[in-house]
Amino acid sequence: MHLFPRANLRDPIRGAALAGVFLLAACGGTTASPATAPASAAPPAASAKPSASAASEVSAKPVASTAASAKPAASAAASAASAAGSAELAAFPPNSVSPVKDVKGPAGGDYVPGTVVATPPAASGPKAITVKPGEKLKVGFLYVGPKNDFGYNYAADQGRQYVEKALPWVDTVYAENVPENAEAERVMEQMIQQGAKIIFPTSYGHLDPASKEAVKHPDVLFLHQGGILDDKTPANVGSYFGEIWEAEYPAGIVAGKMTKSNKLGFIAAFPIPQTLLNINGITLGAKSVNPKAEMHVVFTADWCNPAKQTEAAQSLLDQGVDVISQHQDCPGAIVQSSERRGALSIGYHADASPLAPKTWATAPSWNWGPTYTDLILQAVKGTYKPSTLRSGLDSGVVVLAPFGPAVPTDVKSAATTALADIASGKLKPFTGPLKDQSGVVRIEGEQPDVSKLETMDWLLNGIIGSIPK
Amino acid sequence: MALAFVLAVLTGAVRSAVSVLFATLGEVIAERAGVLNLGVEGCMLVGACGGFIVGVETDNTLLAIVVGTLLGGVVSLIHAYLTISRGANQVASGLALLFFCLGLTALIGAPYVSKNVTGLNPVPVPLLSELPYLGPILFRHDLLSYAAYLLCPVVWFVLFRTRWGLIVRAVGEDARVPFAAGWKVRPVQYAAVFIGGLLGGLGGAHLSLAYTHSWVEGMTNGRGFIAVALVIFSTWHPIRALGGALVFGGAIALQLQLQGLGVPVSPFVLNMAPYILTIVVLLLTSRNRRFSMPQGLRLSFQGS
Repeated sequence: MHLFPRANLRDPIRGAALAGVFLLAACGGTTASPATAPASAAPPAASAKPSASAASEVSAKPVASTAASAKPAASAAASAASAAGSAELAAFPPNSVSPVKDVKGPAGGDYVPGTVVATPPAASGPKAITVKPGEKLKVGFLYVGPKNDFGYNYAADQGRQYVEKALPWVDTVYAENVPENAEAERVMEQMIQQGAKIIFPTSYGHLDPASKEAVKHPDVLFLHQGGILDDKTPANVGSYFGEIWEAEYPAGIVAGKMTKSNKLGFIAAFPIPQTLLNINGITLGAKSVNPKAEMHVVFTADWCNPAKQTEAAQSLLDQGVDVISQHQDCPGAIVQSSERRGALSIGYHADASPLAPKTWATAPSWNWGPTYTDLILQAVKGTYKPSTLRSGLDSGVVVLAPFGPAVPTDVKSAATTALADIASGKLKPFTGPLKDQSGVVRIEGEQPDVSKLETMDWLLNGIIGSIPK
Repeated sequence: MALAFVLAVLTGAVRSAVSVLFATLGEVIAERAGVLNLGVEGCMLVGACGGFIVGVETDNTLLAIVVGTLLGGVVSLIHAYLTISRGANQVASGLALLFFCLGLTALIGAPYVSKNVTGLNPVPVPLLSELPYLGPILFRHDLLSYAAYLLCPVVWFVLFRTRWGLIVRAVGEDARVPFAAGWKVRPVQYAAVFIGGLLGGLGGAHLSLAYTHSWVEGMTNGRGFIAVALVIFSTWHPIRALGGALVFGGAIALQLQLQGLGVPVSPFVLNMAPYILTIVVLLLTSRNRRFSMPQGLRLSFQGS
């Protein structure tokens, strides 16, 4: 998540330098490259029959798994056909179905839309997106970084690929390395000129440029990832996001059970509420199975700085830490450092196991595909009302990436049990009393609601490391 | 505990200093010849990206390092041509080179983000690595780190004890003098900038192939500018450049180690450390002629 722009204002030189990357990358990197549509793709109306039968064939296969089996985000695209397991989904126009029931969650269970946290009072809702028969609906995606970073942008692109498979009448375009400034407006403008009717600006800082474009193009729907809407947000801008900290607790169980030195490490970037929620969540999970486990936290003050990440990993390993987790935009360097020194890796955002075949454990990850698909379907049917949508493990937006070979069966089952319990609401990780580092009780009894949790500004008592001021 | 902490900080200091040390040494040579190359960050990026791509494609680490190094030198020739042959403004040209390289490597390197590379791994030096204290701090790193230590005295010797070094310094102080004495000034400056670019590229290759084993756009994150600052910090002297690079590496290692131990220390403050130190050094040395910058940096020479 990009609560701070990549071009960090705290470091003007780096800011200027990255501005340069973006300026120049704009020439090549952000030329909205149309995702390769299969050459055989006939207009939706014509293709409805064959693809419908194909889809029902796939859906005939048993989608046998429980909510706990946490199918990976990475393979979500592959399972898109079975997940969107209905003939109507693939057909066009999809006017007669209730798609929410048909779009399966990543674990094979029903996809449940998230909770609407807030609806702007002014929002009367946008017009339904109309698509002429025989034409494809064009949907644009903006990524703040490269789509193959095994991180935040990779997860978003997996979601885009899922949409392409699940909805054959949708054509996607995407742009990588789109900065969080007026450049993003230019990229969106270009996509709209190409005919895009729905745009997913996926970085936190894309909200303002998207709002500006939304005023200019009232007939285009902007679905923003992570933003919180207010009164001033145009009526054709909506927002959605996932409660990824819910997957940190089960990841913590893995860390707590696997550590031999009882020292765990967490490499964070900035002390934003989401990061602090993640650190506290994984620590609670680890302590629940191993009270002796000790969490060491280091902040790099950079979203993606491989050199500093490497040094942070090395310094934690030098101090005897043997499980390293993280909240960074690009997880690669830390995962690879851990692999080289034989420490267990808990990643973030997506499955990065190819980078650490031996020491990969798991990762709290995004599974955007079903959400994107559902939102597009609602928009086409005219039922979408812009809102600030939040969902977690129960909806399958957030998952635990597949376990690596180092994780034994009993640890896996402990983690998946916790996953299922959090998803069903039986287990609430942030149930009090919970004290902060200075010993003050911050949560007394029941787990606070999401909007309260998202203001977290403290670390749990016993965590080693401090929030940079 | 205290001893282990000091050892860990010093080891970390050496580890993160190496790439910056290469770039700083290169920039010392270029500036000694009167050419300020603010594009050293760009040379590092090209070296990091090019080296990484070759490393992934061929799995030949030596070839990867050589290619990364050469690419750093080649792009620095753009700066050399603009400033030496065309008399362009050094600051503008250097920054343009940087932005060009940032965009170019982001574009070309995009498919290689998060690829695995064999790269260089630590090779302890026999006997020396068993020394108490010094062994783990200095002699359990990768081969390029050892090369970096050795390069400091080599650069010092070349600059201060060889005829070519004398000419380089003369060109950097006042190009009219060696020109009047019958020396061709431009080839000397070209060579100095090229060597500076080579070392920048080598520093970048170390960053991607030995230190992080990964490539991400803009991964140097201002290390090239740190190198430019360290050149001033070291008052254009290769041996003091080693000290400067270690102070920089030490600042990073210290803050991360302290954080891991739970000492409240702000990463933001320590991020500023190299620049604050540079300002202090400028304050202290600005009136001392012994430490003054090569005077040729103030102007571009119009002879040949």
